[in-house]
Amino acid sequence: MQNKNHLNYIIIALIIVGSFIFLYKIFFLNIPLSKNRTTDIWKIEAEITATPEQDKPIKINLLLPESQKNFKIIDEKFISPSYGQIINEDKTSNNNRINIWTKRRAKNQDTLFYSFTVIPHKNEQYNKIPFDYSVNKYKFTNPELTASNRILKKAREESADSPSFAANVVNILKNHNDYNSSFLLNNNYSDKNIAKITSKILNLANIKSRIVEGFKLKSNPNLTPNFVTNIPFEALLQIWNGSEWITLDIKNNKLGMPKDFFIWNYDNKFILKTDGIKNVTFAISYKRSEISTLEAQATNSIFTKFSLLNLPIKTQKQFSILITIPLGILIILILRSIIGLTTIGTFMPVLIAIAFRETGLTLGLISFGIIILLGLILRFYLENLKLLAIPRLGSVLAIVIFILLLISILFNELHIANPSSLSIFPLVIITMTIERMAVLWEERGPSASISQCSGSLLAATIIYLVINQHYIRHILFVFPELSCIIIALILLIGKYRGFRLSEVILFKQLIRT
Amino acid sequence: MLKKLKFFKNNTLGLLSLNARNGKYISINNPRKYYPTVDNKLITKKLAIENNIPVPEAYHIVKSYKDLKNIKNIIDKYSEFVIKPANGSGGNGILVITGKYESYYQKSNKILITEEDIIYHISNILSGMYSLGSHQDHALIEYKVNPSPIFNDISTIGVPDIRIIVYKKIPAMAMLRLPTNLSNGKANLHQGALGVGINLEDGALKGGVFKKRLISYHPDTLRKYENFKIPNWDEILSLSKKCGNLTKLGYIGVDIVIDKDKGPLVLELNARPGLSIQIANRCGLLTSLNKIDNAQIAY
Repeated sequence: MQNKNHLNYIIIALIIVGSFIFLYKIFFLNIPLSKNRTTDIWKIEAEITATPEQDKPIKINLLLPESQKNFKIIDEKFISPSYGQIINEDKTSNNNRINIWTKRRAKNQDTLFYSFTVIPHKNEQYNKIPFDYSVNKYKFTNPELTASNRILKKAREESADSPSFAANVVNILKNHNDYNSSFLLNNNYSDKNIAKITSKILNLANIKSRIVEGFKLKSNPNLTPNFVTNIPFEALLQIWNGSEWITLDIKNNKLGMPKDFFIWNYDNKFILKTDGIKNVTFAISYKRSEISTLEAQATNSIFTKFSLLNLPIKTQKQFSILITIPLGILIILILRSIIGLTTIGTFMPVLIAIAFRETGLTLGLISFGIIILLGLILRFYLENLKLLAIPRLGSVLAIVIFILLLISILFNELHIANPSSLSIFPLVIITMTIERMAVLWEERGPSASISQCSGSLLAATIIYLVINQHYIRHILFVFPELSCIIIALILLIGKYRGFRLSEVILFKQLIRT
Repeated sequence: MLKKLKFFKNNTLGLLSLNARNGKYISINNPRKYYPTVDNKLITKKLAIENNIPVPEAYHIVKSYKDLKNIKNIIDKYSEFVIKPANGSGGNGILVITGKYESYYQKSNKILITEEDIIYHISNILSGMYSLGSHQDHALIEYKVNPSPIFNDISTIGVPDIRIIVYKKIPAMAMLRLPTNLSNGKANLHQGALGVGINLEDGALKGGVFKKRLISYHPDTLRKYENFKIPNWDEILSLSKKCGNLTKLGYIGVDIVIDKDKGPLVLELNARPGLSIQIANRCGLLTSLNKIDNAQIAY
């Protein structure tokens, strides 16, 4: 009895472990169930053309963007021939690094590139980096202070919290008829200026805010071409609510980060600063493309470290086959222990099914049939020669290889299949099958022999049809932990003591008695 | 349909399924280390002789290809003999020689073969062709049973044998296996022999199965066997009980033949007896197995 419970615990534990990892990977690591799901990625390129002043040392500072709440930056590249390049990771610059290009002197116009790839990746942590006071000190003149306080008072009446308060301020500032607003904005109603003034006013009310600049990455797949150039920067205002940044879109005065907005610059800093340059142009362009979500995930998170996706491609291919074997075994167990199909050898159909993966079903069945038939004829001929058993088996094996060779040449000539596909056919298994069939043939007659052989082929076909589904292969490969559940099911079948379907048919005739 | 479902769900007849036989009876009562005592007929024979259980006499054991050279000297001594693999299964690899005519030997199916054919057969046995798991094997040359005429009324061909399932040393179910033309004189049900249920109390025949279907007469002679009783049934039954003590296996099939001169002989023991015996008897094994289990607990 203890034994019985013991097995139950193992089965339950396997199912729990398998499904926990499986669900964790789906819901927390966002690993897709379907192979065909794709993710947008953007390759962003900043192009700087600089015309130097005569004989002066050149210094170009470029503010670099960072991975953020919705995006992750991978694969950064700097193309700047003949320039010295270092990255200044200045902690005080709050969320940004600065790339510095230098050159002793230059005569001609130079073009410098900075490119990187952006993939969607949620990380709330980036939105929770607290405020840095040193960069948010504003000075007001007296008239400005009076005007600001009026707006403040007006906005406060209708607001519930800091973000809605900020939205009210923006609303008042946008009102062209408001005297205070037009005075503060100096009649410059650009988004960036409104953001700047709003931030000043909020500071007065002890609400911390910052201006962020960036652009929207278009994800519309119908967008053609997927190449967007000369992207203008847009400004957004972010308000610190004590634990995270709340974004306010100045344009439509809506709270929340606009979809696919990529932040380049925090705190209204310069993006490009140059020394010894007469004339500079700066343009950003991006190209959208798609990769499978799986690949995108593979560049992320701990999943990478424990994933088959990290292995060399060739090894991956081998494992993608191996990982389907437990499922094949589960099917053979169902066929044998529950349905009652008789096969030659227990796991032989699984191996045949794997061989079918290389040849395809029809071709596999035909070649298998031909090899078995010729092998059997040969086996019966060798029987007459009264050889010892091992030499007989050996010669059958050698001739099976020869038959394979002939079939491959034939298929190649007829342009039916890739000839290399047959070489994986399990030779020893086929030889043993021929031997077993021959013994069965002698002892129990052709019908028993043929019926067991076709039982094996039927099982192999069923297994092939299941394990060759792209979806099943993908799922098993990406979620190898499902093998735990398969093992649990195999153990469960090991517990099955009931009738097989074949027995039901056999014993049915006893009902009358 | 519903009736059928109910039949299998409640298991009205107490039928034992193959899964239950393997999982509940064989795996628990038959420890694997004792399998050789029944799988290897040489060991079985030795144990039987030690325990005064009558078995067909072993003439010779061929252990290696080297022994094949003087095999003629051995088989020349006997006009009738049987060659079987020591570790054979399911009746495979058994060659029965019923007579010798000049340089030819006659098989049980009246076909004449040469000494080379016999040597070839033995070398196949030695190579493990018929053995469980294809291991190297020994060939056993032994006494050919001459069937007692008691079954002549029903059957005309081959050597009938009696299969008794012995569970925990107590006979649980019995069946008479009668060779047919289809089975080529062999007494294995899957080769086409007729299986007839035996009433354990008095040896009366009942039921019957042929080619997995119910039958009540011999397919060759078309004779009904309904009122037939096996003579000296108690002797056979007690022989099977003795076999239950022979090995440490708790669930075995005992195969007994009745020789014209020597009486009941134990042919072999089987650690994985088949389940067709239930169809032959028209009732399930579970009922009697449970009865034996309960009796032992009470005892």
